[in-house]
Amino acid sequence: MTTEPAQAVELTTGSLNNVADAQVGIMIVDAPRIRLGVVEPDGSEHVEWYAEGQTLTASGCEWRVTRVRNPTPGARETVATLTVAAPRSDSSSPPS
Amino acid sequence: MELVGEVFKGGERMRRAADDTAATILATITNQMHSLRRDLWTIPLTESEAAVPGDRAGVRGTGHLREFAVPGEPDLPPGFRYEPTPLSMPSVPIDIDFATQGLLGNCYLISAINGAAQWEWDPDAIAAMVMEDPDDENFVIVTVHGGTYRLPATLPVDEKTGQLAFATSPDGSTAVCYLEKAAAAHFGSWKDLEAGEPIYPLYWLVGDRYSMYRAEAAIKMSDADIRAVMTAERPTFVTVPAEDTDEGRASVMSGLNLVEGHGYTVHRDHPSTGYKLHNPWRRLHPNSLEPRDLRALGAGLYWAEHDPERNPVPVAKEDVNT
Repeated sequence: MTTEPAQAVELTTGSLNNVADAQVGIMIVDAPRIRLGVVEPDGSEHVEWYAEGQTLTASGCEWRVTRVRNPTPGARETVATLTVAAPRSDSSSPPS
Repeated sequence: MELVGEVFKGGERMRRAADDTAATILATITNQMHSLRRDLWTIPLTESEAAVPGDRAGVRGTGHLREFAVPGEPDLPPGFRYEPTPLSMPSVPIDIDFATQGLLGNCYLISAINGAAQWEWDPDAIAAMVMEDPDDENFVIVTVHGGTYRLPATLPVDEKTGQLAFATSPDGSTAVCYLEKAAAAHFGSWKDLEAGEPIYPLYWLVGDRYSMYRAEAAIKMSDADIRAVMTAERPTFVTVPAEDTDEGRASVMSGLNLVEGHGYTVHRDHPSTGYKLHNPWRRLHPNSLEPRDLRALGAGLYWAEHDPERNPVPVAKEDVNT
């Protein structure tokens, strides 16, 4: 079973975040850059730096990295948002 | 118009200064809260604090920091709810991956559990610590060094997915979930479990099995001292602080695949060079690192050991049940 992705997912420091069927962890924040680790549903992992506005692929969707800001040291907080840039390639559009 | 522009710029400068001051005050308060919580790991709950509704005494339970929320459970953050969940015991040998961190910022606690799991516990030890209440199957009793906690047999789930929200075990057993819930009960809420240092919950878990709990900044330690700690065959942890990240530090962090502001358990199986750390996420483990890396990152080292001046306590894993 797959989860239909929300249109936007807030990324919080300190734990993995559920992003559709994948999980995304914030490794380092150096706003406006952010280093994200993506754990795909099949267990594969990829870790990259992203600048605000760039896209990443997770759970078959393309997500745009937005609203990156540096966290307050010691606090757990939302420091970036992923918004759907392109839906799953295998998803079918509803009839019009 | 020029004057208006100058006034505006002055206002901007004041706003930025106010933002900086607010950030400093927030950081100070956060540090003080962490310090308070650190101390509370070592103080058992009083009898009335530990009781829960439905307890024989019928006393409303509280934690150290917060009264339990209605209906008498450690307070949950928004987006989660309790679901009745039976206790199930591990079916596999206990090791460093016993606990996987969930949607809570308590890497230090999960790392502490995994450190104890790697060196101290086997399934029998877990069964002695976490058991169904013999008088009422709707409750679970957790006994650790820091106290005995009688908890409703419910666990937090994510309201969106219905899945267990916080700590889990790879084999699906729920004993570790109740260990974590006992920690939440210790403070009165789940949010109060966020952020900390691994050595304090380790003391809460295993207490006087070690005579000393040590914390040291890697930058103050020699290569030889770091090597001795990392290979001591006792629960040992590394924390990577969240600091202003410059280009150089970011480069070291990325090369090692580390998470900033995160706690790790030192793995017993070291590679041929360097040392291996276990991420409590059970994913995205870092590359092996050297003592110089720990110093460059401003890492903290935490470990349990025995003072030769005091009577040593056996620490071999097989001794746990003797």
